[in-house]
Amino acid sequence: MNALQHHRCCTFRVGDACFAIPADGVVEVLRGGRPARVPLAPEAILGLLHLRGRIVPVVDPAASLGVTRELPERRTHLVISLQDDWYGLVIDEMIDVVEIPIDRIEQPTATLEGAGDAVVGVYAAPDRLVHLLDPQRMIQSLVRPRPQHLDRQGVFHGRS
Amino acid sequence: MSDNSEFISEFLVESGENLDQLDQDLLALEADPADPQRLASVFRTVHTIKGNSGFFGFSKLGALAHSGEHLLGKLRDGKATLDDRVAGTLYSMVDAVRTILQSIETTGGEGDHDYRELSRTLASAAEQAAAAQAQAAGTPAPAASGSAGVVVTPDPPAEAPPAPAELPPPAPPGAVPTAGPPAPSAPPATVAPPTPVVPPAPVAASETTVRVDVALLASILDLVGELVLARNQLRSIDSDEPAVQACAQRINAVTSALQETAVKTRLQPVEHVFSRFPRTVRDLAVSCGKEVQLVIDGADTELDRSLIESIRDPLTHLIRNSVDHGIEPPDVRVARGKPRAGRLSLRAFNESGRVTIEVSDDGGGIAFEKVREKAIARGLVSAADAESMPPDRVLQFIFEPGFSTAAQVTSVSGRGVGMDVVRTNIESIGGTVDLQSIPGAGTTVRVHVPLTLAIMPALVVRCGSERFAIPQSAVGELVPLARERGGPRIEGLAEAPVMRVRGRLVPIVFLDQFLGIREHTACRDDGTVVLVRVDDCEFGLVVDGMQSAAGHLRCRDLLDSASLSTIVVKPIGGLLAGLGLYSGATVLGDGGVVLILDLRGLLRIAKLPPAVREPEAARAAAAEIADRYLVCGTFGGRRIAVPLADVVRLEKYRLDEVQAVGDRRVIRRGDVFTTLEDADGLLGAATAPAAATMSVVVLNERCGGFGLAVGSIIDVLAAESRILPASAPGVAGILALGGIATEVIDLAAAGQPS
Repeated sequence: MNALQHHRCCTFRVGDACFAIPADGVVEVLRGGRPARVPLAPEAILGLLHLRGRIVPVVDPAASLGVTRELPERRTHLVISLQDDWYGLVIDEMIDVVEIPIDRIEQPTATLEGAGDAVVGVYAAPDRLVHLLDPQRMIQSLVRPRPQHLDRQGVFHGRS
Repeated sequence: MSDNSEFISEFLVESGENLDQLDQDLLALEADPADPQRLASVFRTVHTIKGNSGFFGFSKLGALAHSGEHLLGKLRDGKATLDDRVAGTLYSMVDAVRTILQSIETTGGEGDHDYRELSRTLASAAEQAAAAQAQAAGTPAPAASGSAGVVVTPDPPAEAPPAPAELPPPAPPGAVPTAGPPAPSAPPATVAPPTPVVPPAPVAASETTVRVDVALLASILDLVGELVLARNQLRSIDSDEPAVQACAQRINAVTSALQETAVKTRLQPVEHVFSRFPRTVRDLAVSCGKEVQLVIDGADTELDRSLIESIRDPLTHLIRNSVDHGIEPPDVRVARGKPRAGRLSLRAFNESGRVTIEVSDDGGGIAFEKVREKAIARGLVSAADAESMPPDRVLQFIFEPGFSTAAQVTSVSGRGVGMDVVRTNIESIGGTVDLQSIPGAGTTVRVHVPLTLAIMPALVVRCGSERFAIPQSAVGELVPLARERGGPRIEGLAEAPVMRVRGRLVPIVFLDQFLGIREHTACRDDGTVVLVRVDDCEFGLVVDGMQSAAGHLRCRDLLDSASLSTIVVKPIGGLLAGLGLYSGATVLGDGGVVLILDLRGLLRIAKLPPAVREPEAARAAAAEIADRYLVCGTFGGRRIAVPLADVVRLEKYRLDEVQAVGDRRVIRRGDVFTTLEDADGLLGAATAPAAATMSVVVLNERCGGFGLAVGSIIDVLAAESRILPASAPGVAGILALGGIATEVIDLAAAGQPS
């Protein structure tokens, strides 16, 4: 639950669901860019981008978040920093940077089936339900073999 | 003393910083006396000061540090607890060490003050603290002997400090580590503790160097890489404005220079590894009962800092081997007519873009017979095969896992985990190890490592819509596939494609198919085979072609092929590391990200047929070559043959490219001139008028290294008969080749200067 220590979060949309990650881990929002393909890489790794002298793996977070969606034509990459590595998450839309009061964060319910352990809490914002992510777990779940029944089958509930 | 001044000033800088750290650690220890990491850190610091002072012959400092180390050893091993009295004693030791260092800095000597009283206080503090703890615990005080887990057992404090006279200081002939890279003893990569106020001791020495966080250097390199890309984009912009052109050119030059400089910040002299070896050798020599003289040469040779750490363990191992197994005990040496003290030489030098480090001893050498017997006993080779093996091949068994010929296992070496680990470690950083041994005269091990892993020459290949970089060090040759018959082509079943390369059968991997870029390979008949060698295994990677990439560095101009570029290797992170297929990525001049193929991983995943991994197979293939001949037609129309094993390459020249020098004719290829001999002339026939173009068969050095001018190249054929003697001049014999009797040219006679 360490992610809950952070009040300040970036919220973004993937598919129909809204997610939040700690703002201090966000490097930048990169629009456009064509990643170089990595043959034989796990499906969720879409390629590699070059950003400020670093090689950044571009990942599709949808699968580990239990969301199905078409990859957008014009990509928006939310570049986050985890330990010393950077990752570019392909998101559908950047929403906002918000302050989330800790006492309003609730235990994750089964709002997103197949989201695995990446969602560590939910917060009911006035207009939407925000899923708080632990970026570390999300990235790890991308390379971990997923249980069969969760594979790309996740039912999503954008608003419960 | 003046010979060592550079080393001493470095020692002073390092020790000054270590003392500051020591103060901090002691303070922290007073708060938490049982913190094992702090204790270990303090112990190490004092141990280092002791080792260095012994090395430079500062006996007072050595004795003092030794007493301190003894006390700290007790604390570290839990035999004593740090109370106020002990802490006070340690602080006064730190102060005394600082005073001595200051004296060395200013006067070059240790000063006249007597520290024996302090040494005694330290010793008695150790005993009292130990006794106090034992009493408190209700157990008898432990004996003074060292505990089993401690590798270097401190001598009893009453003894004299380590005598530095046993080892001569390393003789650096002009080997002055420049003031450039900072000393690495404390790894600054992680969280650096806040540096306290200005270090009081060695101000003068520290003025020339600055310690910089490695992460900061890395980010500078990254930014320079970005700048290079921007520079490349700028280059592609057309502008007629002279001012813009001039500015662009200036930016261009500065960027290149900046990149070279930035790369240099990663390099450190190998001295940082070598400097610990005098001490290592001394300890080993003492524990093995041998006398060893260590000679260090080329300690200023520079190497990437990440590689410096990687060679430390392998080198230590090689040194252990030399002292324990190689160099004989003094009486044996005297009996063999050698000097009592064995000579262990450690040399580092630059060689063809790589760094070679040589560890050689004048000991007994490796006993071939023992290695042979052991290899047979372990079933690595059959007795019959072993008998016919040349000695250098037999020596290769040393690198087999678990191989040791040591008659008895000592604490130092002989447990059979050794040379294989050395080789694995060195190969993991892209290096190689080779070994020579002369019985009775000694053993030499050469370790070749790349200068840096951050930058390397690589071949950029195209495969479908993708591009990949292949480390040039692994690339043997490029063979373009030909659609027409007779050219190089790929044979074998779909499951196990192979290609014939001069008699060797080389397994083939279609890169597009292997990486799933295309369902069916498009380059079975065209494309290019990149022959690569990893460890003992050679294989071919079929790609669409080469990519001509704009290199980043000026040294690109030195590379002879446009496809070879110097690439900056960047890590690709943990997500893709698990694949084991890519060792990193790079950004090419056009801004494209290109993956670097990990050939070792590829080899493992491709599961190439094991038969070809045998070095024996390659050997057999080499033997096969001896029976193959290059058949040519002379200008005069005679059909002649040259042993294929003696042919280096084939070239075509126009007649006007041939230059006459005196009565010789030479051709020029790059900077190399090759003498031409006319085939007809060698056969004693009249030289026929040459055609407008000629083919030249360049022969190897064994045959004189000249070029044999012929009219046409016919084929490479296997001998179909035994060679028949011939009496014609210049003819070694006659062979049936392709069903036709062919004259084998007498190269041995032709190579003689006429």
